[in-house]
Amino acid sequence: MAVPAQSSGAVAVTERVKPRAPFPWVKLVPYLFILPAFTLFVVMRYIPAIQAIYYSFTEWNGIRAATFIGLENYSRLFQDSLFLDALKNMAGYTVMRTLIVVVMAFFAAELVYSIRSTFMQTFWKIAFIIPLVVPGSVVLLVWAFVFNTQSGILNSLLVAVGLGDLQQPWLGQSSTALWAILLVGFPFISSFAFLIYTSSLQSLPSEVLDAARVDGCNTLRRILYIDLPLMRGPIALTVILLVLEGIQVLTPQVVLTGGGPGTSTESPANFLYRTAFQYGKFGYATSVGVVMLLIGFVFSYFSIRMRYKGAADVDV
Amino acid sequence: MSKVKQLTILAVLCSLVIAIVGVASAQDTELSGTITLYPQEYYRPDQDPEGAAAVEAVIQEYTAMNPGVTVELVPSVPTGTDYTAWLTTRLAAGNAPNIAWQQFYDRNRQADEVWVPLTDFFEMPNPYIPEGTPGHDRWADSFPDFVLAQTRAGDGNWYQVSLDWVETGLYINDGVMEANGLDSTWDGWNDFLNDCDTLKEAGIQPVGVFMTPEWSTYQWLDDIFTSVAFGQMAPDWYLPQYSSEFLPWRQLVTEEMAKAVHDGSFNVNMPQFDFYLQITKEFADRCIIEGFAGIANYDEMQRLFIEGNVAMAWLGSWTSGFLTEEIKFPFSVTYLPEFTAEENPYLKYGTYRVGGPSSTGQYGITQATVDAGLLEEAVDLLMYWSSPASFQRVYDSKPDLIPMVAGTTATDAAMGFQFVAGMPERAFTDPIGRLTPEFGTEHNRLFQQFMLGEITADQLKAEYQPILDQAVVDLCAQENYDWCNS
Amino acid sequence: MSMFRTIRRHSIPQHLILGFFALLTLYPFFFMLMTSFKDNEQFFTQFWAPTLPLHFENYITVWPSVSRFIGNSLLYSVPTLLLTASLSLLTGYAFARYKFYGREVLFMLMLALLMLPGILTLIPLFIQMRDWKWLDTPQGIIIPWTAFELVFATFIMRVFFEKLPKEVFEAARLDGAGELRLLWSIAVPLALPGLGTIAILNVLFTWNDLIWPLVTLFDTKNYPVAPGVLGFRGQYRTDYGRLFAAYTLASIPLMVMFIVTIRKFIQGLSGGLSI
Repeated sequence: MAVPAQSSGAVAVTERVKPRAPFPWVKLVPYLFILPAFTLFVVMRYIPAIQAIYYSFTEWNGIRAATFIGLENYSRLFQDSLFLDALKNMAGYTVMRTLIVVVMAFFAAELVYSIRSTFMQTFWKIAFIIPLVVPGSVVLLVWAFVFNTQSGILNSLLVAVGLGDLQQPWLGQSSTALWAILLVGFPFISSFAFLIYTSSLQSLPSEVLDAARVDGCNTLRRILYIDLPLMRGPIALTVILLVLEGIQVLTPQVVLTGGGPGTSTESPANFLYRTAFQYGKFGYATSVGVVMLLIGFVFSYFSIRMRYKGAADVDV
Repeated sequence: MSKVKQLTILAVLCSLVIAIVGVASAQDTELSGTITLYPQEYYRPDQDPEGAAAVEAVIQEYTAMNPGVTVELVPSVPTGTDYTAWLTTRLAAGNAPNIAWQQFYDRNRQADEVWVPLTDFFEMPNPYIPEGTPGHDRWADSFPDFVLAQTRAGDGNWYQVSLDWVETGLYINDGVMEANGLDSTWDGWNDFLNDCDTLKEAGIQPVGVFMTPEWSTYQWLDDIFTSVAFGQMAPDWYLPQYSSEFLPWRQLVTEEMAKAVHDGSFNVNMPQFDFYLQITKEFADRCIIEGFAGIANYDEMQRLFIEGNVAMAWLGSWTSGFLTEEIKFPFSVTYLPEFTAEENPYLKYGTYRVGGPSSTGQYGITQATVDAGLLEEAVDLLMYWSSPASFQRVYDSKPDLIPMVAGTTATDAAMGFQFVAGMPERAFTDPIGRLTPEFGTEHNRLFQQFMLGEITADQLKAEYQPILDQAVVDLCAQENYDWCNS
Repeated sequence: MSMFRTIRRHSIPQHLILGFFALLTLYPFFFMLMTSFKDNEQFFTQFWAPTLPLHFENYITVWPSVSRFIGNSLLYSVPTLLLTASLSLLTGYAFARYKFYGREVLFMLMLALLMLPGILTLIPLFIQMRDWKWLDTPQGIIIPWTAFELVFATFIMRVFFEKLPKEVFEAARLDGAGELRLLWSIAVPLALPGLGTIAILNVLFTWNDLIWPLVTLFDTKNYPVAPGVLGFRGQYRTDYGRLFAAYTLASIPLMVMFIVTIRKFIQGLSGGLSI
């Protein structure tokens, strides 16, 4: 590509001829601005991704040369009951987790928003941001002890409030393990979603809110009929980010359950990781990654379409 | 002059003598090049500077003897992250260490695709071993027969040296046992199960074993239960190429296991299989700690024992030193009881030893080393590294492992497990090393559900046979055993 | 006056609920701090509660190596941050302030990268780094990290620039400012809050990323904090006090950065982030 050499000249020209830059050069400016970033994307992201997609059509153990086998990996994948279980778990986990995190973060954001003092608002925001410095593995370690059957906090708490009968080996049985993993990180406020919501709430048009107050609109109605519709954008964004995170969920499996008991907490990412690095089946593993990629794509596409369908908050 | 100093001088003199012998025998070849060595836990310069210094000293002596050779030590990759990911990426890119650690069953699965067969070198003299010490004339003599038997790959080759070993034992909280009128001697398996019942009735969790689809201590139980149920048959499955007259009883290797499945001599419809499931379920229901399938790792299991939450725990010899420091109540180490002839209709031995090479000192040479023309250098370094004089000094920093090189001595902590060494070897290795790694994970999953009562014995059998068969198909595709098409 | 009081009394329930949430949220942080002063006996027997005596020596033991890991992390994270910030500013600005052929397609192509599981490209990228002889080098960490973080950062910058009033730019353009002048003297100063947001997200990522530095750096001496600190977990025994002292030390630079940039961070998000 000879563009960079030419372009630097172009920039120099635009600068020198200040008042009215020659028309064609200005048209190039945005391309020049995005060129470095896209060069990086091509070299560091797209090319490796295309290579990975190619490997998904091969049998490859990471050592020998890959042999092309067409769609065989994919047809095997959709007959692999373990993978199908992993997909099911992922779907459940992602839907529930996204829902809980969005609701909790939104709830906390409304609480913070309802406080009048700016000082206290900032205080709470900071209080919920600071815990982000704790590494994820430490958080998981703490939660392992929350769910522990013998000396875990959850069971002790149940005994303390007289609900000893409800004690469970939370991570140790198929019926509760995925739920336990789902709850790791409760109350889910130390999250990016919370910050986005508080900031968005603060910038809602005050005329609308004042009008609502004058009309005697109570808080719940205001949240349901004004805040939520106006926050479609931020909510859609966080939902997409959370879903993408859910599709790639791996650490709780690695740290807490190894995908068990049985297949109850298995996830596609864990399946991919194990298939690649423990079984040495890179071709098969990359086909899992490609399926994850496609799911992410399809979901994001439709959620963006839904977000703009009949949206009240977009003026463009 | 302190005793330490005297000893140091003695050690230096000894190593000088060895060095001279080494130089004398290595001189004619003139080794040169850069060898990378990954000693795993023996080399953690940040966390264990003393141990790392010992390793560096050993290596410095070597490079002094072989000035043409540079040795690059690669520090241990953090535990808890995946070493396999680290190594596989490097193998794929062709820049793995020349001499690297790897778990023996993973290594034997990768075999000559990744690793250099050491079989021929095992027949050669190891010049770094002094005369009179086993291994001087034939390197293989440096290692006990059971070590060689258990680390042999499916194709009959050895791809690694195993310099140390680990054992397991049942740790018992004597105070808790006593308080419930129990002790740690049992007349057979049922007596043990009855003690479990007594403990449970008193509200105490009997035996700490944890279980995930990945590596977990449950696998040791499975080794014993399979050996208990199929011990009689195992010798019938031996293949001549793996047999040695010195070892009439040994662990089945992957090919033998695969062939037994292929021939149908190991299948889910045998009465032994029912017995195997029965004792597994009995133990799960009566003895194992509640929530065993939700305990994530060995440390958490250990913590439950140290906290006194469980009366007994099946733990490894490698943490005995640590446990001795941390446990504040009277405890002892013993072993699971033996099955009697009445209890086991298929009795071969009462119980079996669960120990093995899954330790730190497992080293092999990567194939890329051959391509780089460094094979001779790597073999020479490996011979030097595994000689008793070098390895003793390396080993001394990890006293909880059990050295397996003739001419080295174990520490007290490791000696405590010598009683286990006298027991017969288990016939079956851990599920994750038994056939293919996929088989291991799937085995663990099914048994997790079975032991939790989430599936019945019949459901397990229906799902288990296909994963056995699949493992054989995979192995045949990979290894091309000569019986595969029969 | 009475108005004030009612408002305050009014928000007591909010404060109580938020306080309860904060306790739960802050517990892992507190746990990390507390455990860092324990020895193993205290860790194994008094897991939940703080214990005496405090073992300050944990910090002394881990300091030499952790300080090196922190230094390494800064060496990788700061250039990554500078690169990500400047490139995202440039790219986000172009996407927000210019209409050009293929703009939305390119933008979508870029966002698609968010859906790409990192683990999928681990091996191809690693082989590429090896072929370029970038293994074991700072650029082998910095450039891939930048390529990774740049996607969301550009997204943030685009949204940010679109929220800025168009008039400022129009006016400057009418005054005859060149494209680079516009960028440098108007966009950059206005972009600072947006960059604050990017800084925090960026450093959080680079500080915690484990797998990439682990596979590309051969020598543990060059490790950044995430794989470095994990080294305190032993194969055979782990000194938890030291491990958590290392975790705590490693999080201090993050906290300092949070405190310095948090106002900008929140400001940068003001008006929210949206699609």
